[in-house]
Amino acid sequence: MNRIRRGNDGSPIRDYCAGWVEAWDRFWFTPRRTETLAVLRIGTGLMLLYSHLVLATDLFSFLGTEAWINNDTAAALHDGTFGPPTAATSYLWHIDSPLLLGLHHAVTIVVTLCMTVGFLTRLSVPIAFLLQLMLIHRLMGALFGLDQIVTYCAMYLAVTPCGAVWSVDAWYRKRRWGQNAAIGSRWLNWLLPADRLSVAATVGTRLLQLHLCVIYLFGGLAKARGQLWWDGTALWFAVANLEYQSWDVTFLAAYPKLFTALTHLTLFWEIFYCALVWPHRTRPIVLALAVAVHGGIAVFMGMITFGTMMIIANAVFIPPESIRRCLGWQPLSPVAGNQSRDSIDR
Amino acid sequence: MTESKTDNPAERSKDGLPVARRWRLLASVFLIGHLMAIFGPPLAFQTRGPRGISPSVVAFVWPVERYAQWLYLDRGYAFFAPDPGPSHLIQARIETGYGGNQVRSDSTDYSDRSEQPTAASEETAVSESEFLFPDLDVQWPRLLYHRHFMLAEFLNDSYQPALPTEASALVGPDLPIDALQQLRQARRRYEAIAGSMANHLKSELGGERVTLQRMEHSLPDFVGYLENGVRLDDPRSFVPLPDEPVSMEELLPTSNGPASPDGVPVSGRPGTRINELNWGQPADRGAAPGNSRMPGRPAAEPVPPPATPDRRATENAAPDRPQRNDANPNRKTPPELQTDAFLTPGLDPTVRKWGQPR
Repeated sequence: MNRIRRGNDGSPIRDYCAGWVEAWDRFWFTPRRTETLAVLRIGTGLMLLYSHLVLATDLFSFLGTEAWINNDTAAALHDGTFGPPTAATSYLWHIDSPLLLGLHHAVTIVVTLCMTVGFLTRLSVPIAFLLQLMLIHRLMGALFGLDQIVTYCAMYLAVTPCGAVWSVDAWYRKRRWGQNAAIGSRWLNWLLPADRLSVAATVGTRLLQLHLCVIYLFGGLAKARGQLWWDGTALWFAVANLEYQSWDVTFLAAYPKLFTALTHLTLFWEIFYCALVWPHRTRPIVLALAVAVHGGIAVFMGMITFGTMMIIANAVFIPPESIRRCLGWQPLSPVAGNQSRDSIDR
Repeated sequence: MTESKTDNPAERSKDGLPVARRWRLLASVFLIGHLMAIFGPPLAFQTRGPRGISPSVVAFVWPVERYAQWLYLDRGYAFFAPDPGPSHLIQARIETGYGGNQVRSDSTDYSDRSEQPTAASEETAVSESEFLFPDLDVQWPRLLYHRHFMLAEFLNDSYQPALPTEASALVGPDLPIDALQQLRQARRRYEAIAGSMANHLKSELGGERVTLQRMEHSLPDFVGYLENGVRLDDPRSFVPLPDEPVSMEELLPTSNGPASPDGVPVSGRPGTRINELNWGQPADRGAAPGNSRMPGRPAAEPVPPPATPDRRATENAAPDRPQRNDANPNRKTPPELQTDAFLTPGLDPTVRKWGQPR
């Protein structure tokens, strides 16, 4: 890690503040590689694609004038008709034509496919995010946790060079100009990002990491206001909900020690995720619990999309170097290795 | 964001980082603002009380409120919180043969009011069919089913009973005019949502009269499940939620107890504020008339979970959304204006909001 050297003028307050600035800069602006973001891009793209395809099977139940929430009502829910107006807006409120809506959705699917395969990611990822944003502001009432996390992942990916590896962009760049060779045009260099360390990758990664911490913290604090999460029966009432149930595990009723323990574990994991996910020692445990909790939600509680997407999002805490090692790829350059060896916060 | 060129150490700035200090400063200002937009909305949810949101949190969120709304960051993240609760479904009855078009919800007409059937046509009812939403046998794949499930929850979350027409006579210190307007606005909001849903079903399924009924699917306690063999799909566990208007008596301050600005009413006694009812008084809830416990359950049994809507996967999670118990005359249902606007708290008209004069 590049430690920023600062002069010591003997003022402890100044040194303390300088330390904060140094830590802030190191946290946000130490460049990193993009393998983790590429994994996120593919996972998020696949989930977005699936979501759009499923929506396409019943598109006009959700968009247009005959939808469950029709255009006028969708607009009225945001524009101040029924309360304070919000800044949420969507041009889909104003499109009545089924043909236009169908074409729009087809374009959305194509753009999301481009994001997934990594074709022109500098453009396709931000556009896929904006299209998703318009869609969720239109689909109010039919949304749930999946839509939140998949939109946030797309948002943060949009500011990163997530197509630098494992993408059509990377393949074309390598084929046309060679591995990481400089391209004469600055525009082309931006459009087809090279596989190199990137500050933007760090910013996107950090934002998603912190956002996950906030989600879990407030998810846990909200649970802590209830009683069933404290007396341990919350898990039972979750698995006994027939509308959610995809795999009947109500046999747990006979094992109150087990389901209450799992309830308590879930509550504490969620509350302390934001602290324990950063240190090296505890991160694997926290992430393993994330896989277990969200895997359980996916398998037993009928939300395979939400559970899977949360697991994908948690992958943002896996350092890119670990992903390369897992895949048996070549070791990183010395500079890259130095950039990522240290710190509890990588 | 300025792209790094850090594979070459020579390209770094003086302090070893690849971005110039002025760019780092600008980026930092943006990052702090974005972090406020991430942290503020769920904080606003959690700090909401009978008086509204904590004033300090309102001030904290205000600069980034619209930014958060536009980016869909204004969420509470209160999944399955504060407690897992029963599901809510929509039962739709489609009737044909009335000789006219009619869309109804909860036995109340919301739209197409000009197309009321004539008395003669009502006598010629031909057929009717009922549908329950969501339905796993119809909506497939699971994601599509879940979206329909969320719509049913959304309708229930949006529910606000109608007010008596003479409610304005009660306007005064205990029922401020803006509180009454919010209650009415919330009712119009619910009617718009229910009307839209009914119109959709009418266009989708045909028929001339569509009636929507909210249903609550209660959850069995694990003791009852084990000892009594209660089935999760027991027909008795599906409880209709009627659409009954609030009476004048319920709007009177004595029915809910005037709130002291200093003291916090004790949950479960008369005067309990609605926002506190789901804070862990299951015995009270279980004993309350109209509670969504399964019929036939002995009173001594462990009570079912509170009837707070299942917040886990709904987009508009509000951490302390009041229990929906429409048949309980001791409870006053607050408006549901806050479902998508995190800065609009649930409002008990008898409780002064922050900064509101006595």
